[in-house]
Amino acid sequence: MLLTKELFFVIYHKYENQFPQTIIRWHKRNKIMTRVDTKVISRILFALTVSVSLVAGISLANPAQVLMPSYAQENKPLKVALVTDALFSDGGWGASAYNASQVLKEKYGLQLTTQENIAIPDIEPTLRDAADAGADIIFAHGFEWGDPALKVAKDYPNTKFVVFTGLTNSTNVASIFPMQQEGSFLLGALAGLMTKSNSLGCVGGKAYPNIINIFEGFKQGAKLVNPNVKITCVFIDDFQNPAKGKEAGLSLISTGADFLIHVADLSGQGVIQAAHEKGVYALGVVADQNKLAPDTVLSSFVLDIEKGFDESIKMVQNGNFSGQVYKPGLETVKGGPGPGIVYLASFHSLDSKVPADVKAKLVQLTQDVIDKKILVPERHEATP
Amino acid sequence: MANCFYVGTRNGVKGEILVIEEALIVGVFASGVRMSIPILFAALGENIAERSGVLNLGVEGMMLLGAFSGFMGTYLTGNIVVGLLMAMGGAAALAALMAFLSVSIRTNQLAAGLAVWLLGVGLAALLYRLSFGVVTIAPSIHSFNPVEIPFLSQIPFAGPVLFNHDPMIYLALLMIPVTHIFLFKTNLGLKIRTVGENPKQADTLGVNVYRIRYLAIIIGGAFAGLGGAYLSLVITGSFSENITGGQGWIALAVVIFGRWKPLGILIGALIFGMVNAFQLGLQSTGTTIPFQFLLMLPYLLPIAILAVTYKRSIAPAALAVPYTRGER
Repeated sequence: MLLTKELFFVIYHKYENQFPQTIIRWHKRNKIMTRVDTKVISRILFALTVSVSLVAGISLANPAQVLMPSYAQENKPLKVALVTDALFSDGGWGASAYNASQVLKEKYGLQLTTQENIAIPDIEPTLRDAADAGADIIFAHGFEWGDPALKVAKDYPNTKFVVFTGLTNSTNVASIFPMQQEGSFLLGALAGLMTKSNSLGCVGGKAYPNIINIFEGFKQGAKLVNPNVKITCVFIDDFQNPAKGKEAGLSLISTGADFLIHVADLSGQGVIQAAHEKGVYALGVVADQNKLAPDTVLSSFVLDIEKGFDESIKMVQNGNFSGQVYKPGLETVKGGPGPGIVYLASFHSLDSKVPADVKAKLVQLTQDVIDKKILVPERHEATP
Repeated sequence: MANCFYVGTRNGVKGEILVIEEALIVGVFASGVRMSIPILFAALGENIAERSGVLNLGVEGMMLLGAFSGFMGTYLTGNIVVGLLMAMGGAAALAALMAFLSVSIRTNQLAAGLAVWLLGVGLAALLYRLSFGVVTIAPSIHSFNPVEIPFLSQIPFAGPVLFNHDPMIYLALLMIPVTHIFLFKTNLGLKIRTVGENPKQADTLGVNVYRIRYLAIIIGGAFAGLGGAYLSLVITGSFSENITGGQGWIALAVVIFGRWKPLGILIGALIFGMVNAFQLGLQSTGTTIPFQFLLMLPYLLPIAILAVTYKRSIAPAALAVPYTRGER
């Protein structure tokens, strides 16, 4: 006690002016140093204990809050922008990106903005606007966004750009280029096994490298299981014209095609309609398009865009974003193990139309492609 | 294969014979007829407006608004006829604005037309978004089933090409004599043409130039609306924001090509539709001709024909000239 008393005197006289006024007043009134000392110190100790245990309690109850770096600590939601030249109402390419972004918005509490139907010349300003608005990640949905993203990314080093189906990269630009030809390879095998006329048709929006790539995979799959099959491709130069897509589909059907695959966004709905009208099968791409025409769309290859976006968000959150061109291939089912993000949709109500041996063959081919027993290389030049 | 047409002998290295089956040929022609219908409707309407001396560049916007309002009408009521009436109404409303701009306040018709075009494009997209929000599957409606005309549809070749279509095609073909008689055989048609050639003279003869021009533009707008509705109601059964894809502009060219006469317009529209269908059909045969060249054809051929057949302009003399009453 004596020691405390003397110590307090020393402190008091030395730092008189800086001492809390309440304590000084209390001291002047009572003239007893020791009691002030012990009481104040015990109060401080009590307060410290309470607050420390409170913080510890919260941390134990919610370890993520403590473990998560930067963004969560600042309690700031990740700002994400999804921009595309497609329409979210196309029931395929644009729609699946929109759906994926909505799922992840819920999952991570993202601050999400979406923009669709961007004209090609407006791509660069759109990217700049999104970056200026403070986006942490910009998902640019489409091959055409690759080069503009590179250009814009230089000026916004703190923003990460993820180009879906792009082929460009830099420090803050990554591209996810799914091996869609592996998905269309499976569709080609399905069509090759089931065609009666040995004639298949494909309708492309534009002759972009990634679209040619999809058709090449389709051809490889069909010819592997059915060497006699003939495949004809038509390009209509329009992604948003279902009327033109329908005429192209009808034209192919009139040459004998009994399976139609399309990579033409909204125009593709016309292709499916043509198949529906003439009673032949259509194959969907990118999204499960069975619901567009349940008795016509036999199957689709689906891009697990959600998985791709999710991985990108995780990379940014963990601070290990790396600007690469990622090329994920097949997976067995949605959200399946491994890096793949391409899978074959189920046959839905048409399940009974597909013989068991065809289904078995597809399962085997999927595994063969994943195991690299069958290689489906990228090809950006059309072959006959 | 009994019904085959052999085109050429050998196709280069592979030694394939390019075989074009009859089904494809019939398909191409039938497809060509379908593809020319929206242009035909719009061009017939534009012809009436131009005959009255108003160059309506807003056709594309009117088609688009017609495509939307027609789709909405059918979507809400389930009745295609209601949809068609709505399409005509929606496009005619936009045409009334065009008439106000070009006739009443006498703005430059080119500028007014472009403004109306942009307004129509924006309005259709905006209203569609307001009605349906962001949807991942475009809402759709049931469209017409093809109506086979008995006996006529049995004629080989011509039957499936001409007489096995949706009712709208027959309506469009019917509109050719109807507009011809309207313009050249009726009193009102004569007034419209006079107003387009010499509005001052018409005025002195007691014709209300403003009223006639308003009428002509609004009728033209209703036609454009039908053309747009054909795309959304009949061909696709759904609406998309750029469903007309520039066909309104083609219609403007077709009017010039057709020399402001309904029959000429039919020929122009058919050429465009046929060439478009032909290039799709040719691609379907797996030809080695680069498809980029084929895609160019529908635009190249009309230019070529225009350049060859163009002799002297027979456009209405007062086309694109605003009329001010009492001005010297």
